[in-house]
Amino acid sequence: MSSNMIMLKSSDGASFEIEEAAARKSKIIANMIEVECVDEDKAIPLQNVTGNILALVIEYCNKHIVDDDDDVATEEASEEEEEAKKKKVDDWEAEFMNSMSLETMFELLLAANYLNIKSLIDLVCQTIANNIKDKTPEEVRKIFSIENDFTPEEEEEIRKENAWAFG
Amino acid sequence: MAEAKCPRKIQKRVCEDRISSLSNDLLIHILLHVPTKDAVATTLLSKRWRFVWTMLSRLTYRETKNKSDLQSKSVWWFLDETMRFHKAPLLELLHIQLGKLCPIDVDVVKWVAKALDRPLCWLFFELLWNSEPTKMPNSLYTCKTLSILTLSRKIIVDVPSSVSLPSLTELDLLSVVYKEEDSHVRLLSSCPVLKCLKVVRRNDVDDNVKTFSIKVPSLLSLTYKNTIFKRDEDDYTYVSLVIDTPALVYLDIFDYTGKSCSTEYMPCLADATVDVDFNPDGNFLSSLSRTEFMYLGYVDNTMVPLYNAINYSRLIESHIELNDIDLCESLVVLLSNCPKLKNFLVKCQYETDHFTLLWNQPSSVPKCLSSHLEIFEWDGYAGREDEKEFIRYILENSKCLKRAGILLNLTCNAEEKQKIIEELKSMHRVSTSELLFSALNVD
Repeated sequence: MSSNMIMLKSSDGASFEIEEAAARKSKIIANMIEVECVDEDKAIPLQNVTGNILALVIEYCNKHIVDDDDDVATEEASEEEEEAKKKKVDDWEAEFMNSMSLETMFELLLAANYLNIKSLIDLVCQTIANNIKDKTPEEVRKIFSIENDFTPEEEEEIRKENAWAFG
Repeated sequence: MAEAKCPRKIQKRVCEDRISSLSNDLLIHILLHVPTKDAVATTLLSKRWRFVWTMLSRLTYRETKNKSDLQSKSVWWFLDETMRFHKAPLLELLHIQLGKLCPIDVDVVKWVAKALDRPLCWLFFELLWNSEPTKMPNSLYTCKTLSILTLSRKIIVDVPSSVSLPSLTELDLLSVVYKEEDSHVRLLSSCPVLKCLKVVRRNDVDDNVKTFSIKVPSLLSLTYKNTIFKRDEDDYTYVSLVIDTPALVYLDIFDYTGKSCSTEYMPCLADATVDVDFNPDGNFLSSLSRTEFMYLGYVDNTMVPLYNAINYSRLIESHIELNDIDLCESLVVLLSNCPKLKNFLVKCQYETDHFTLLWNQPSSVPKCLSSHLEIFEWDGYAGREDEKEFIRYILENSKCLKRAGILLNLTCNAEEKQKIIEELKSMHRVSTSELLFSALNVD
């Protein structure tokens, strides 16, 4: 594996250097590298991602590319080692998600979606989902600032239709 | 709370609603990570959310114990109320588990039938209601997209003649009953790409099958658990098992009822867990000779000559439960047939009260002891002479041994026990292995 570096440029003009192997976590960038023969001197412009979000995406990709390399190096790792490694990744991910606001999380989700990084989409969706799980509709509205635009009559009607769900 | 009265002003100041402006695809992706009940409840959030959940491709309805027992209601009602609104064009997973609270006067499979109008990939259906076993819709047995199917408990497998499951790779038949003797044969013969099969048969139901016949050329993994135990020999008809799965790699079989098991040769078998009390046939034994991992859950005097007659040229790990006395010497014969064995774990299951057997030193040392064996475990050490000599023999001859574990099953007092442990510790070890002890019965 070569450790080619490539440049990414955010919508607000910030440039980031990243290992090609890490950047390939993004299907979009991997595609660009394959079909367009990315010029080493030129940064890839990412119009939909701001610098602060791109920094998070790169942090995530770097972290996970290291883990993938480890997998190759220790093919015969025992189950305990595998478990320990998985726990390490889980802990890192939990810490990573914990450090950001909901606002940032949505930006990161959109970026992950735009760059097509499936594992990151899953991670962010799971974290957002944790704020919906085991909550009443009122609590969910409050957490995400969702405006209740039903009339009381409409709401009553829906509650009746789904009596079990709200029972 | 105050914000319930005037939500708009307050919340707009706090922050804007980002989640509702996400695409439907992303919202569904988020909802796939919450229980179906919570996902359905989002219908009440706002108009934007009203029908998002109806596009979910995975639905799970699971009976849960309600804290307030008196008011608890079967998840059936939730299923019945929500499935009518659901309209995703494809269902990746429909998981329905109905318990004892499920009403018995409803058409319990109607939503499965409705789900089958669309492409369905994975169906789990468990029924535990207080009524007779029920039939699945006929369309289940002709579903082209179905790749994983689990049917569990009060279900009668009634397979139409037109059965065809061209995509089915995993099938679990858990404590179900069969319409007739041949129902399962018809079903299995219509699954051309089936890779994993799990069959569980229980002793509290007569499932209408005498010969369970598993003939699947594509099968890689088979788990067969027959928990019907022998009752009175007189009023009990034996059942038998037929295994014809030439591609099988993984086998796990538990059966103390079968009179016989007829098998075809399985040249790819690598991992076998065998817990049966009938004598395996020639093809079965030849197949075992190909394994790398083997667990024999029941070995008695009549089986030993059979198992010992094979050469286990690939075997790396072997677990054996001895159910008869006088088998220590046979173990050496077995070891001499396992040139690559690394892990050898023995468990003694029999009563340990009577006689002490003499041990005859074998003429040549098994190859695996001098070059491969790393882990040796003896579970149920009772201090009998032949056991002691066998362990001494292993420790004296295993040049690569890393760890030897001995689990004691002693009824003697602490002082005597300590003596026995000291005796084991003092045995000569050719390698620098560690010797571990653990007591099963402490008194």
